[in-house]
Amino acid sequence: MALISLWVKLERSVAAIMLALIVLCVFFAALMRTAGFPVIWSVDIAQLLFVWVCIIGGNQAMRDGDHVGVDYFVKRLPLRLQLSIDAVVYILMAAFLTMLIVYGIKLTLLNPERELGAAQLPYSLVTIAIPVGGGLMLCTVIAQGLYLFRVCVGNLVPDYSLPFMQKFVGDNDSAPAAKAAA
Amino acid sequence: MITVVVVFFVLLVIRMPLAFAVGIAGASYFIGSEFLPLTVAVQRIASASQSFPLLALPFFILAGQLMNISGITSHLIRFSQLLVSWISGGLAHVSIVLSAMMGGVSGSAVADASMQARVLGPAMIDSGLSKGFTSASIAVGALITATIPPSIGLILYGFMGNVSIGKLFIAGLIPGVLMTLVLMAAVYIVARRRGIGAQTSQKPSGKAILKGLLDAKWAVLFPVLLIVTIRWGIFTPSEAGAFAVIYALGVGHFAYRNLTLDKIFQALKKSVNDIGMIMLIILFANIVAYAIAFEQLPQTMTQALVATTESPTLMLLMILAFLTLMGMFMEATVIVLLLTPILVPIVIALGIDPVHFGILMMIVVTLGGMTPPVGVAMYAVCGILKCPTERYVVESIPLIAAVLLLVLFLALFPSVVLFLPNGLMP
Amino acid sequence: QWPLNVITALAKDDPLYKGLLHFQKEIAERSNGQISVRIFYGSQLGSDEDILEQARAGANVAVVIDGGRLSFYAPPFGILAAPYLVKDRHQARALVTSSLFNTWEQQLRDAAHLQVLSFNWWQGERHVLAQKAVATPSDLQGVRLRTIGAPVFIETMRAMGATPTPMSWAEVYPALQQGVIDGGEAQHQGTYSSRLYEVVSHISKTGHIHLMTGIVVSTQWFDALPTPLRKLVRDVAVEAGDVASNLTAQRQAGFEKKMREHGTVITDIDRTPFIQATAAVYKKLGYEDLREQVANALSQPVIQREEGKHGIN
Ligand code: NA
Ligand code: NA
Repeated sequence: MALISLWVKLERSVAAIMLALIVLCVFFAALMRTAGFPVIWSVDIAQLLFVWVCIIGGNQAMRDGDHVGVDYFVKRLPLRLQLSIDAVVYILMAAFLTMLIVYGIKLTLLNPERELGAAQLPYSLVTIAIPVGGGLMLCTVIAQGLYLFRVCVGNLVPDYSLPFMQKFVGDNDSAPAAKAAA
Repeated sequence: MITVVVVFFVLLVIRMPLAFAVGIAGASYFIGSEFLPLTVAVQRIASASQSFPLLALPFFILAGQLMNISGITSHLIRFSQLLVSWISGGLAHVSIVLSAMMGGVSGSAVADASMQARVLGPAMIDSGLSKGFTSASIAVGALITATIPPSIGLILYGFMGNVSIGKLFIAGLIPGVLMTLVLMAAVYIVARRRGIGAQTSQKPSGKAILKGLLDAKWAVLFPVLLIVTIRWGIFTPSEAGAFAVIYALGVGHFAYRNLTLDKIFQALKKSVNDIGMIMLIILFANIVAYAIAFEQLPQTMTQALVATTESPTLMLLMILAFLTLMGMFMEATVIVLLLTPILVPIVIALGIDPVHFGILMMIVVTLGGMTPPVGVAMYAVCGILKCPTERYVVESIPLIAAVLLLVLFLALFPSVVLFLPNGLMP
Repeated sequence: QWPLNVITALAKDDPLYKGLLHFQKEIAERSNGQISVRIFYGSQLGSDEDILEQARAGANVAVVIDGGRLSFYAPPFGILAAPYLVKDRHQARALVTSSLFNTWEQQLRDAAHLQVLSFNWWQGERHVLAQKAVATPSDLQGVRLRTIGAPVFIETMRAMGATPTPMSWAEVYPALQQGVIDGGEAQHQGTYSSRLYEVVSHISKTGHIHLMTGIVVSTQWFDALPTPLRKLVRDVAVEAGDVASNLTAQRQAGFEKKMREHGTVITDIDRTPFIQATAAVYKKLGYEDLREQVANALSQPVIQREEGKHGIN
């Protein structure tokens, strides 16, 4: 458990630092160009870091239940039914992420010669972000899915304060889910 | 292609996160194709992240976060109060004007709406405005923030439709100002009818306004710098985004002196979440964008639509009506990502300027976020202020009607939108 | 039966696009509809590198592409963009239809699963665009010149005396206008269609590179064709390349006339100083042996595929 929370912390910090570096790279490139000494690699590095911020951020948003979706319909259903529908959702997401991992690795191996812009870095550093991100998100999906499964079979009292459980709690009085949960 | 649409809507209905709904729907196209390997679908995801113009998006998200913690936002609130709290409707006007000023530094309507609901909402309700009207003015007012540059929606539209983001930014300026005036007029009429008074009885003196302006100078200066640097090509919009981040840091640290390293780190982390959420949708939607292009859907639809009517204006109004309806049911980002590649070739074929269309499209789809049944900005504000949806809906009608009238006006008179970008960036 | 999707980043008014239309029409007719070609212009399906990758992955796509980008898989292709490699477009055509070029094609097949259909799509000579007349390398001293971000272009610009500044094509116009860069290098077709002549005062006809492009397709698609169709596709691709090249050549004078009318000064120059200055580029990029092979191939009188029949008039 401590290991997992350490990992989560590390992931967050790495992404935050990468985001800061992207800003600096682009700003630096703009300054140098304006000053008459254009640098070629700076923006390429920014683009490379960006794909990693996107997928790590995507995983964090998933962990925190930040991904938007349409809860208009499901919200009106009884909690048990909501949980069963979510089971389908989690299985489909896991399948999609597995696809990303398998074909992402294939893609990375397919074209090792490709270079990233003028920086002469291998483009596979960009491509491999997809299977790696797929793997990270798959871990999150499995963890959340297992939690919901245990709630479903009844050997766990759900904690609705967990970020990804918030969707079962309505945020206004038209949501029956809140009452069902209470 | 029909499979893709059906899969997408079924997944949406069962509360699949949007990013995955769009990704799985896109993947279904590749699975069903004899010639296209899934490797290409993964490639489209990676490629979507490699667009330099798109870097503007994380930058303006981060800049928005930093503006809040750097004290720029609170200076803007004070200045708005000084400017308009003497008009009938009081703090509701402050909310509208604040959205306009925030518009110059922030690119997201939802962010602006949630910030105002927290910071300004309770005071508005205490001042005697009803909960419904408070929520409605905050939520609908936030539309101004998304129209005045910078605007994340316009960045996405420019990215998907291959339209100059710099031009779009400059084009958003006048519609944003007009929207501010129109919404203030709507608030004024409602307030007068109900006998809602002003917040303060005294008009601010010229001296007081000047003092307030000086106090808020760093915040007010930013949008001016933004337009100037983009117009004179000192920065591309993406570089201007990086500049916005550095600027917010500089102002927060040197002028307002309330930035700590820890606060900056928190802003970075919060931004990573927001970026991850939006970007995952954008990356996965690129799979569908490939399917749309591969099916040559834009060309087919252009031919079909251009044949139906000779009047570009009529067609423009029909497309806008359709988008308004879509906006009520779907998230603005998704509409822009999926429909821009289809609609931009159509409007160009009809002889409509894609910059003009982009502004109108952005206004109507973002407006959808302020209406039921699916409205992120609406739910955010109503959630924070504990306002029942029914009361919000009734009170938002005059404001939404005002916005729609403005859209109609802008659609009929393209030069109102275009003279600034065309004059500044030939 | 064998649908093919041809992708080009160029716009519809480019001669290359006309060549592709010829390709599309002829293939459909002469294969009795067994091969249908769809053309995608602009970058709707991805960048050129993306499309190449899609072809490698086995998708039924073909892409119009220059040699520089293929050099990552088969290094000899890079020499096509080397400075003053050939003296005119006929020699360039002779090179890309020679048996030497055939061995390069095979190399590309083996390394990257990409099949060249034809490579005789001449896009014009590249000239220096600047805010002053340029006659010798010393005139380019300290001049920030936009070029393509591939080693051969960068080294050529450096050898010509300039400071190479890679930048995407779309940014060149505003960058010239605002003085972010001092010049660029392009063929007339590009200079004219992107209106770059409006923002530079001089075009000096250095002619440092004959820009050659080709159509490249997935081997998976190509190998699935019956042998007669394979030959047909390649033959028609060469014809289409000639159509595009001839049209490009025809348009040169018209472009110059229009750009001169606008007030842009276009000068013919003595190229000798630039030829001498750029000779070192071959050594720097390791192309010395290859250059000799090319010279040998060009000295042989045999030309594999016939030229000159196809033009649009
Ligand atoms: Na804004
Ligand atoms: Na809505």
